[in-house]
Amino acid sequence: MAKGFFTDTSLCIGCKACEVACKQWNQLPADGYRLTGMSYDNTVGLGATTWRHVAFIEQMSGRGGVDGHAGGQAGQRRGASAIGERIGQGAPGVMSALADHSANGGNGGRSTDGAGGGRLAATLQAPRLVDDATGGFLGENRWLMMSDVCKHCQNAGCLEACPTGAIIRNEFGDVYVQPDICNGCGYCVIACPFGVIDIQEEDGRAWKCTLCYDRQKDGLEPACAKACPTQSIQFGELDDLRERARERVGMLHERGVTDAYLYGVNENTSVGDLNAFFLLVDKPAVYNLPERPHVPQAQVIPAYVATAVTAVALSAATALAFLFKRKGTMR
Amino acid sequence: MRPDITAEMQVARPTEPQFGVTTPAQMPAPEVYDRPPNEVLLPYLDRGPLVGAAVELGVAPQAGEGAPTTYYGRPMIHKPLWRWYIPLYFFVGGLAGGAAVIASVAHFLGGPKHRGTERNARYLATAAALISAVLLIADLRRPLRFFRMLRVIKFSSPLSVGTWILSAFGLTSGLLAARQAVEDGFIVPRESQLGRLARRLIPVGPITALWGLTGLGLSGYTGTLLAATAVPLWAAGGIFLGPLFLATGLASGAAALTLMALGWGKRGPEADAARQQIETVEAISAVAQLTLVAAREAVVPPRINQPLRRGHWGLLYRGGAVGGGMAAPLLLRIVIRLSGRRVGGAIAAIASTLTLLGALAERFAITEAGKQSADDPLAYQDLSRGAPGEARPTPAQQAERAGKAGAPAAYRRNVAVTDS
Repeated sequence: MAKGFFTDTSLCIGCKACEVACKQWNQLPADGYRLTGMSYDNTVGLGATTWRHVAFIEQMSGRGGVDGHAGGQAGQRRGASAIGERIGQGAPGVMSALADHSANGGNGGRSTDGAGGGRLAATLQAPRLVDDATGGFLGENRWLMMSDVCKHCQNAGCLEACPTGAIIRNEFGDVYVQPDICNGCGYCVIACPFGVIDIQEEDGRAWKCTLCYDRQKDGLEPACAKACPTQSIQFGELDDLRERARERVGMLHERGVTDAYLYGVNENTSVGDLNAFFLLVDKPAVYNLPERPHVPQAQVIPAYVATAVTAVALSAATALAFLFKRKGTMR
Repeated sequence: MRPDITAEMQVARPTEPQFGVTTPAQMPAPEVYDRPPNEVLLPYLDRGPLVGAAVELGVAPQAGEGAPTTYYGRPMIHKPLWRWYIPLYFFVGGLAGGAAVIASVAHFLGGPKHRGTERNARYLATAAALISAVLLIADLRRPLRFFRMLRVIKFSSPLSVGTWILSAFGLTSGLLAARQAVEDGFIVPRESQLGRLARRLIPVGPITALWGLTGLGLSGYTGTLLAATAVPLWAAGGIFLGPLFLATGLASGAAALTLMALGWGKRGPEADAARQQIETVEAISAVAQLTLVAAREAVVPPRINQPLRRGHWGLLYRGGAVGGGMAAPLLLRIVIRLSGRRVGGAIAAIASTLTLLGALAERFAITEAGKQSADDPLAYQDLSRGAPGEARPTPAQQAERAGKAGAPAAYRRNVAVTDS
């Protein structure tokens, strides 16, 4: 019924084709020519004109810190030498990750010849993705890359917060901002638990990923999923995607990536299942995602009740102030 | 032109910010966050005494293990885009609502000596409601589309509820002010045909009751508006924000009415008695404010509350709002009363001015500190760590589920190739 994204970060190679395809299709303005200097991530985050964002996490000292927080100098040196070794071996892990995918036939039948995929995988002699000697593609020293996007939450904070009704859930089950209604109040911006939706200052309206509503209406997959060369971004019916994602997690566990898990599926958070969910191999915070996202409107009823109780109490106190004093001072 | 910059590079570099461009100057510098040195006490220091105790009792989840992780210190959520109009609106709207509450209680219980109070409150509330509407519309990025707010009513959105509360408040204030103007002979002579018609058409009792109720809503909903967001400083302990804003609105409404009574009210023992009743309301509100501030501080984890404890917004909040605007006027009145004297006009004017300035400081400090906490990824991590009883399925559990689903043949073949 509802359609969405499965973003498999274990397949992402950080090429940013999704970012470019998104900008091109949706005619979003450029974000400038600045370099952040922190990593290959010069996009920094999602915003009004950036609906796909590829995060780069460099873990050169084992798990934990992103930018050497946990590791320190020694760890960084060790990481550097390990990378050198891996480059010497031609980084086989990358090839194996891709081979896994083409062997599976992929999404939408790009490689329908299952036998051919199998031959490819066999030829490459794909090693375990986590290897004791070299660390492997997803082992000790690694780059994690993730293409972030609007999660199209089942209980969407922005949708609940919008006071104009500009934000709706469309016929594909996705959260869509109607630009002809939005008046730029900005309340959705702070109601999003993932920091996705934002106001474009020059335009004065709130914008975010539409999950290519226009393309979906014509039966096309979204631009980012179409452009993704490794099918890290997969688009389809959510039930199918979840099934496929669980299989992928099981497969990664079998091959040694025991940290792989799904983010946004069956987590019993107040935002519900995410229509754009992720396969991650480290803590959510590493990818700048909240551990347990809450939909802010869960606070509304308790806050209304507390305010109403206070209103009654203060009104009663005010009434008492007027009654008591009248007796005391009236002559 | 510097010699190392070639002509091609000049072409490639935009000289001024373009459409949608964030210039490097606007980019926040990555911050390295300091942590308390004591590892043993860390979960307690980090999450506040009450939450620490809750962790100990097993009713709250453990703090995260090891060093904190952020994505290069980048914010996890977007911060509020509100400009100064919004905290100023919180002040003006809260004041108007508070004045309306006091005036409507005075209308039903206060007796004839509160005619002046009611008159002042009607004009004040109408002016403040108009200013509020202007401030709110001015902050929209598409102001001419303000009426789009009036096409829906959504109880899940305090902003939508607040739009309707402000509309109802403005309407009732305007009707009462119109009637007051007729009684004062400002528009048409009081006893003219039109004047009589106006006084008959505008029933004071029911409208005043509605006015007081919407005044309560107007003062209180703004705190709920802040609580129902992802901003850590507002969402944590957000249950206290509505009550705190309501108490502050009542205090500032009372203070404004006190100042108006002193400024151009009648003189005499009757007027003094009326003013003292309003001052009592102000003192009660100050007690409520201080209680709510303390309750909020007890439950909000220090990392989240940091912008209200340190820096200039922290100083404005603690020194200006809580110290100068709640404790100081309350103490002043208590000391004068305990020394056996009556609170004279000069003291009352000083105390009420302090209350008003304190309310203004509180609105600005809480709004701006909220922006700072939204930029702090560790504060948001504290907020989004999870409620008691909630736990992410471990990778092992997910793998178990995945195993039940069964890996497809292609994957199994792959694995077999690897292992052979």
